[in-house]
Amino acid sequence: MSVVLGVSALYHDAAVALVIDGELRGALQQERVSRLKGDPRLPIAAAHAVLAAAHMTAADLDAVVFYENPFARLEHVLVSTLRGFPQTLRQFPRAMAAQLSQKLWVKDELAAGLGIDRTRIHHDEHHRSHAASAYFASGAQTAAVLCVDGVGEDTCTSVWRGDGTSLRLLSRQLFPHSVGLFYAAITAWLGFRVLEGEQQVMGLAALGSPTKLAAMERLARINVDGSIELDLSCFAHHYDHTLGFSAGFVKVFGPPRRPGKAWVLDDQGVPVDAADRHYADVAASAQHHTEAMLLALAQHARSLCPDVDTLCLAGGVALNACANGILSQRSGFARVFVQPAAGDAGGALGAAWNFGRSRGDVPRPLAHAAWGPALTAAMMVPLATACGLVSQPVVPAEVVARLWRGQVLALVDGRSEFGPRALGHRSLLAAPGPRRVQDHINTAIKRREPFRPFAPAVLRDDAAAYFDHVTDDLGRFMTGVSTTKTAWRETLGAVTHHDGTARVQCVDEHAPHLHALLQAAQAAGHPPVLLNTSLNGRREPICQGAVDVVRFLLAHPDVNGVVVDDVLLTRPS
Amino acid sequence: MARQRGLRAQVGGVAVSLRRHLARATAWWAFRSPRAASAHLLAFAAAERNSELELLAAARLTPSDDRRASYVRHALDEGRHANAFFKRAHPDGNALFPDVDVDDLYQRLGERDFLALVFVGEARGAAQFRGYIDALGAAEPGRLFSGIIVDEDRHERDTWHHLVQVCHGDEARARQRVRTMILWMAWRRWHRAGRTMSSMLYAACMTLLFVACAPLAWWMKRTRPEPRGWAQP
Repeated sequence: MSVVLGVSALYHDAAVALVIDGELRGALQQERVSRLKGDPRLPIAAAHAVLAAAHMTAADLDAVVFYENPFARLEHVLVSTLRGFPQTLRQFPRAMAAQLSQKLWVKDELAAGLGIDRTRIHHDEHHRSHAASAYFASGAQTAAVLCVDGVGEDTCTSVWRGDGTSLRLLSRQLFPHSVGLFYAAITAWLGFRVLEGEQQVMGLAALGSPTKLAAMERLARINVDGSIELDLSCFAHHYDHTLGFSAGFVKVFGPPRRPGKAWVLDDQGVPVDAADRHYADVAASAQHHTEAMLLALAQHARSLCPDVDTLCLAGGVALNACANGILSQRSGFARVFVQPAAGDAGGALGAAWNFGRSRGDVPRPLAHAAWGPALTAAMMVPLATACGLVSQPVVPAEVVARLWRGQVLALVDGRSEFGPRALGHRSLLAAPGPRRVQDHINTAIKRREPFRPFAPAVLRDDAAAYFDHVTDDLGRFMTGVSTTKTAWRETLGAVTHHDGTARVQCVDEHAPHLHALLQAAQAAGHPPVLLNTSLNGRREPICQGAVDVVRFLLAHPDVNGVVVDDVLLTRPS
Repeated sequence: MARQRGLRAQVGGVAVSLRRHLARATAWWAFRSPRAASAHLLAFAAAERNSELELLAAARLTPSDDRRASYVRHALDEGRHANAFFKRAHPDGNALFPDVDVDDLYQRLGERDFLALVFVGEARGAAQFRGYIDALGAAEPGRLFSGIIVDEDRHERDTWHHLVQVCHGDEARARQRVRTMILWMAWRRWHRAGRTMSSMLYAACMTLLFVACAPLAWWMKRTRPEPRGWAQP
């Protein structure tokens, strides 16, 4: 019986998770509080927010568990930089500064920040935290767990077996042969920000053809035993992590794309510029090869756990929804499960669960993702009114009518989501078609690349009528990609990507307002499907509190209003 | 406007006036080429974005509903300015917005000193923009600064109003906090310069240390070669 706060931080996407007697009670990413996208700093503010929401203080905590072993991390940095001598000359001072100035003292900093005794601060291991976050969230009795990310301590990929409340490491692949860093190199070369632009690569991939697959296969070889071996002459992460790709990579694929350069597409969604078509082909090839690598890793996991039918995925690469969809169909496992915060943020949850287990707690599976502090109409209306907004009562049928008239509305519903996906608690909604709705939101509101797809939210019981290959395990948290049925592709044009795929969210009563809106859409004779995207602007974290939502509405004139509880907030006419 | 000038004269007027003269004198250098102008405007964009984030944090934390709404409106203006500077720096849109950081000023200083700091920042920013307008006239980016300065003047007035409010109506106390914050900013600048120097010294020392580690590196390559394939636990 324990009250444990899990903490992930100091790399990217810092977060906390509060677990009491094995049950998750609250989780929040630091970026939601600081408003800095992917904020890696120690999540002290997020910790206080989560504790306050649970009516607790830091004094009530039995333990605080950091998701990584700082000493193992330091050893990895020393070994890898010395091994790379003299290429790592530029990397060494930077890497050592990061370790010595903060990471090594993380326990002291957490103790000071939370105002508790240092003896209550513990640490876990990066991949063990990931594995626990995936396995225990799934509710499976036995499962193979595959963790794939950039690097945690010295491990890039690991395979675990979960049995009841135990987790056992079966095999792992060490730095520098990393699937995550392979994808990061592609991201950097395409001119996107690493750790943020991977979603853009995935979206871009649908516009291209995998014509560079042979080159990709040479770049990242899949061995017979399922292990991955990178051609390190094309990468730079092993001697300078700020570069990502090397001159060897440029020799194979040509010069990198200029960061921030605008994308221009024709009516069919094909890049107008020939160079951009090449970049799209490389993205398609990289995505295709990543899926092949993950299939090989899943086969390896299957060979180690031939008697289990569930595969749980975690790590940053597990946020690749397209690959998850492929794994769900082709890996041979009956169930493929990915929890909503599969990246580093989720490590906080796994670390807390692991510590609780050591005290006899039994982790409880995740039924939903709404674990952040709550926001209600009563909290929002005073500020909104003071900022000149108008509030009026509203019912789901009227919201649906507005959406189908072409309006874009924000939806705020109680507690915020944990992880990068908006699942109906901090969402931006629109009608699911026609395609120009997608263009409007991409250009006028999100101010991002025109090829970025939007996800459909659909009533769980009706999902199979509109989409193929939908599974509850991936659809619940929008962590996998399905295919829109051909007959519905035009009607659902705004939520169907250029290749016919869609990242479906299956909605049930855990997102009550979104569920009510979908039911109202169905009652009005529309498909029970809505375009659902995160409530944030370009390079902003998802809105968390009243200040963020009101500011968002005032800063985005193309958003017509905010629905919170049974209140609609709009600008004065 | 006369009242505004009077206010500036009361609180650090010499420094503010100097800043305007300095900006006027250095405008030719700051905007000597499109590339230099772009870099300069990007720095302004980052500063405005930083200010927006600090104000949003203040809006979340202040106990006053009135000031919360004011901070949100102020933050919206700063966000708009950041975008305007960014667009002027890269009219073709072919660039990424620079990374910004936050100093958690509200949490560190408390509301009274935070307001004093914002007041000084607004006054200094407006003075600098006026200096550029003096030098550049109606040509771009002078026109951009002219548009923004209207907001800056309003922010200065509103911030002073709130500062006096949190000082319980005591203007002398508010002026004293502003002077303290001017010193604090000078100290912070000195501290940052020191940190930059020590970082350079550290990098040099670590580079030398790394070079001295050559035998250890050779030994490491032999004893712990790069791992391949699956490692068993």
